[in-house]
Amino acid sequence: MSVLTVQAERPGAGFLEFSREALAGYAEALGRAWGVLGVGAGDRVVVYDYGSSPVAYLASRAFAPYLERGASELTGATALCVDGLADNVGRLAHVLRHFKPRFLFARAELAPLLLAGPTAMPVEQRTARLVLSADGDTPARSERVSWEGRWRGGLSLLARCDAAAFLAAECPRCRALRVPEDLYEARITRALPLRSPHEQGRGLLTVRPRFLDLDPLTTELSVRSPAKGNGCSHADLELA
Amino acid sequence: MTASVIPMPAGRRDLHDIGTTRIAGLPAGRRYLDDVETAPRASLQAAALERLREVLERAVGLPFYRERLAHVDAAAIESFDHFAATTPTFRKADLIAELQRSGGYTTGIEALGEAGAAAVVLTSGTLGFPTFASLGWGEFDHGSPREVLRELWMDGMRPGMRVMCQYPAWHHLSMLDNRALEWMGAEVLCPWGTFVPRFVGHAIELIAERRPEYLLTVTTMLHAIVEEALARGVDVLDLFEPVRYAMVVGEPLSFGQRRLLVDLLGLEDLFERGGSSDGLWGGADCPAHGGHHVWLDHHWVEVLDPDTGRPLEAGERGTVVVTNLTLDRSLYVRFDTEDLGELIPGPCPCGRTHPRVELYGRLADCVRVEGRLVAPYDVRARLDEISGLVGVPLLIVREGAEMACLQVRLDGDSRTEDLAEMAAEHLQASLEVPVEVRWGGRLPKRWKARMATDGARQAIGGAAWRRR
Repeated sequence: MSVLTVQAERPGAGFLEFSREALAGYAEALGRAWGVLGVGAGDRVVVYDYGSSPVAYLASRAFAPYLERGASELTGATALCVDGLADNVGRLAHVLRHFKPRFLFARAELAPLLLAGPTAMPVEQRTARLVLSADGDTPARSERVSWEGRWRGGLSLLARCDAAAFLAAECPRCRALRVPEDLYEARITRALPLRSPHEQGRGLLTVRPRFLDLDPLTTELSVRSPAKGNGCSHADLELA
Repeated sequence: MTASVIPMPAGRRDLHDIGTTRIAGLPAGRRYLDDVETAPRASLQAAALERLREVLERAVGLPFYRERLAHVDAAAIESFDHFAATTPTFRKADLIAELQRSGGYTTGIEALGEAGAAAVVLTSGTLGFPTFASLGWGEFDHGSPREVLRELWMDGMRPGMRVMCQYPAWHHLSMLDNRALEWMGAEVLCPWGTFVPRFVGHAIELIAERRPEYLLTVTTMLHAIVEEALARGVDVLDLFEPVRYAMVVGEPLSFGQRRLLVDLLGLEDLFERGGSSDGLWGGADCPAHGGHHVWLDHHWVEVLDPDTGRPLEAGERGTVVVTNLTLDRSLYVRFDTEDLGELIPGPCPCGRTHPRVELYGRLADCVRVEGRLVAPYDVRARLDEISGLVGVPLLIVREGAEMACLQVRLDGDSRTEDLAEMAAEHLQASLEVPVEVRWGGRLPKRWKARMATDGARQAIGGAAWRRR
């Protein structure tokens, strides 16, 4: 029985209907992603996103009805949410100054605001790990490199595709995308043309959540099998 | 052997001698959710006083209150009058000063249990400076969501209803709603985005496709949904056909505004919530629409003269001061919200016995005309009583702290002169202050009356209709 229905961000992507169990599975995915990123007990986490984004409503049991444990409860962290409007960048600066989070989850489209121009966060407040996400998309590699050089706390990506209830974080060390096998069936389909000899196996991610009755969905997330010997024992997928 | 009594935190205990409904057993078919709603005021007040003593006992040990309440003997507080006479008020500026001093996010008002904060919320940005409030699981599981559940029940929500909930995750009220909606057993529908007009299309799509029976939203967003639907040529009666009730927050609704929306959308009723995230308090009106019910087992509300601090009688307007009566949360004891309001005299026709308060907006947004405080809501509400002016954008011109004449500018260049004259006469008669009304050219499309400074006034011309 559906207890919560949330509209997906992308036009035409429709609605996700959750039973309590499905909602718990989705929150588990975010909690695991937080764990991959290093969020632990006692950490403070700020989410700069809309309340309808899974990055926000799954972050705490307080943020959604029928949610028994959000990512905060799963990791022992404390979450604070700032509405994800560009106009709120001043509020975010205020929050960073006083709340002093260890992690800042933000909409990828807001990254330029945080990093340049009159709205840029003061350098001394760029100490949290910045985790960027966008529905079905990731920032271009060149942008990412540029942003990483300007954010002291380090930058990670949280891959997200609302229509497939998909959430997975990059390992901060090897940058492999950790896709929990017990939560998702994931494979690379629709091979993309190679841009270089190192791009073997590059294609689009097709994913199906095990906690929600959805057909497999080919996302627009470009991924590849990660290179061997990258220093981590796991080797899931890599955003390409 | 005598059994010892283990004291329960105030937030976890039912009112003394008054049974409250277990959350697991909602009383289907009943008008009231629990007996507390209609308990005799004297019983409620006695129980609230007991809670107040527990709250004060805890507060005196908190850093923010340690000096402020050093002279207060919680156990010796005999009455709420005694409480008011012995306990100082404080304002948001005091919390801001504390926040700036500490450099952190706590202000020393956090009365949390051992488990600490379950979530931290930003309060509103009044004075241009949000503060932070902490909430523990005791508050979420046993505190304020219970009062929200009561108000949802009071205003027609029932288990199994499909409820569109257009609130952000970051807001305190949204968190309380989440728990209350879960306890209610509602099917919750969330449109994408947040409550700014560019997301209005998502809300329209959700209403059309998912057919909610109840809307929880903000006043400006409900207007935006209606305007966008009309602009798209959508039949709003058809769009809102499944919607029986709406409950809005953010701006006070005038009678004319409510009537217009109810008729336009074919609602059974439209309810209004009020309160503030600074102070972590609030309440909704009931079907009688005679003020916001403030549940005495959760909050004690006073209205004080903003100049002297003297407690005012019901029916007198002043600044609203709130004291929370539950723990495991940031605790506000005689917090001056700086909102203009009044306690409503007499019993409510709905039969609930808790105090009611009407809210008119921020004190800072009011003008003082010949010594009388006039809120933008006052002007809006009076003009909404004139057909032809319902919802017409308007400005109130502020020319300093004291004004000899209330100056109002209406949207438009030259609508009928009679209408402006009628507006001036009606405002003068109902507000009992001198009034000048002009057509002010094209004003921003907004229902809420806005303030403009004298500089803005110069740009607004037109013939004036003055009334003394």
